[in-house]
Amino acid sequence: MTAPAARPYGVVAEFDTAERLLEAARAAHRAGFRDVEGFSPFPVEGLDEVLEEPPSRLTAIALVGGVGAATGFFLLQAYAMGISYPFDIGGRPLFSWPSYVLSSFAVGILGAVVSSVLGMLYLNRLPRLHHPIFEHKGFIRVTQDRFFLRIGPDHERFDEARIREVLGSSAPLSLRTLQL
Amino acid sequence: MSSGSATGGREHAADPFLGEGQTYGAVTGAISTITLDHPGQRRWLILFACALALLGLFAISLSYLLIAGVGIWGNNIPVTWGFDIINYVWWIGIGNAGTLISALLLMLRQTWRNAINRMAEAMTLMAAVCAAIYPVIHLGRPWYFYWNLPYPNTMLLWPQFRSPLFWDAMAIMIYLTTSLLFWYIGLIPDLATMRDRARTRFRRQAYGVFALGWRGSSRHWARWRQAYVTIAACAVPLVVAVHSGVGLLFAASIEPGWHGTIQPPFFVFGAAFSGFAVVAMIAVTVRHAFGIDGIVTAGHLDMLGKAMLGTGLATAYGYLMELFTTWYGGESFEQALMLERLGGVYAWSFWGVILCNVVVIQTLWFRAVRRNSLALFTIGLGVAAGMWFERFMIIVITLHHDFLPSSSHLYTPSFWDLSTFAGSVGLFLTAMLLFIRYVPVVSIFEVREMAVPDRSS
Repeated sequence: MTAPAARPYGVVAEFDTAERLLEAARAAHRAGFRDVEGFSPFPVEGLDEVLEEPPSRLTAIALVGGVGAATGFFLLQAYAMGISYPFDIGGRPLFSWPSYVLSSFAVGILGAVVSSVLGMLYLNRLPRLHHPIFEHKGFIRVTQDRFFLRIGPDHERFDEARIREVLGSSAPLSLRTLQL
Repeated sequence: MSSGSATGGREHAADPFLGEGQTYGAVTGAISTITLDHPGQRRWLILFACALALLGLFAISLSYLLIAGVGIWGNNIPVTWGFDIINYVWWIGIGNAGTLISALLLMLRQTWRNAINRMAEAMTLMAAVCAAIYPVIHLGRPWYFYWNLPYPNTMLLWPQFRSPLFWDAMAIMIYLTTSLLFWYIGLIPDLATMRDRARTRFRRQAYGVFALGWRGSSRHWARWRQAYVTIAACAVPLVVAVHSGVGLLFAASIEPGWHGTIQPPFFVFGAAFSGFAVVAMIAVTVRHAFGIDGIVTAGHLDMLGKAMLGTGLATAYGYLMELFTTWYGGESFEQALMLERLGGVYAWSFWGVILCNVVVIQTLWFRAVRRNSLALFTIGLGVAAGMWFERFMIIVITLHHDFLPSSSHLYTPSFWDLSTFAGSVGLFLTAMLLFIRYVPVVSIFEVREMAVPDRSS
């Protein structure tokens, strides 16, 4: 990886409503930009469709984690009660599987929950305490009441004038270029 | 959604779950100010001192318990389950409503949950901690509690996987972990808000570390939301599993009054009932202490009142069915037990249950009562007490005389029973007060989602 002194991170536009953000995202998408990212104080309905984000694998991760943990725990119980430490209680069968179900279910839930938390953090590349966008002075309002749209360099080409033109057409409150 | 229909005749047909003029900035400011500037510092300190005193009592009680053993309690043979199990079931029940409000209503897309879900989740977490302590300390040798876990050990022994006691231990631990993760994941965007609004460097860094560098990116939000909803979907059946697990501990025995198929669902309803009561008390308190009537509105109190009424009626159905099946089943020990409940030594607990959990909640049919803070708080307190009476009734009345005259003995809680109970309330209050002080009590970004943009700036 080459790391030149100042690579462009992108042009960041600031808006005061979610509708303006959506509008600008649509305009950016129409203009053919692909490295586009929205920032908002709450999840904005429809932004993913506009930006054509691929669906994430999080549900699949949770499913695998949950089913895997449940199956594993069921097998553990079957092994422990039936093979490792056979113990006759009132003549009940050693493989009395219905009594393994409740705790397998609970452990499966734990697996699903933990894997979705870890999966979310992994897919989002969090924790990451610093990020180029934090260089933007007004950006702290993204956690309060402002919306931001960043257009980055597509295919290592950074046509700042063109980006500014597209973002400027949505009448942003501010428009700033950030370096990496 | 039918909840808003009652407001039809009002002059402003605004959202019943958000006051007038709530903009993104106003909502953010109103809630984060509670944490950052802390209005009512003096009141908080007084309450915190009281809570700490109770927590100190808890520490003393537990220390003495470790030195002297469970003999300091009023438990005897046959009443082997005294305050330890009564309070365990009571606390774990209170915890359940938090998950129901937060997770179930999230999946049902009920936005009214937004203003109260954070406190409900915090309540769940603290109540689950209080609950988890009881089964451990009643073990006799609490430092061996991990023997209940399946781990490779030098004794080559396994826990008894076929026992409801094991299911229960697993359920509590998993419930605690899930509640903690659900609460924390929901908190991340708000911690970022606190990081960006904090004025001192230390606070910025502290909130910043816990916010994990959250920056509200659209990609982050999409995955975050998926994770949040997935955890919610997992947490709801877990609530049922946790409390029906407790119900099974009773139902799987042959004791009269316990050995019934109604126990698991009955326990779940009762749990939700007591939880809603405590959430209502917390919501009313926070709303008044910090003057956030525009965020936690009368509409929320109304919904909490309805939830209490609904779960209360389901619980009352359980009482009715117990009476009916006892009569219809014709089993003499069961009938003797029911007579003991109605008129025996501990009849006060039965009639306390009927008064608090069945009679008083009927006032919640009236809209004016549901929307009245003081009334709702009082009823909530009554229900919390009523549910405690219920657990006392179920546990002590059944155990104090069952099948044989020889296994018959009265139960009186000792001083240490009472002090441990008061102490666990102190633990709950201390944790809740710390939560109110250092964490946004209301989910800022979720309420913000319902607010309107500020056109003036």
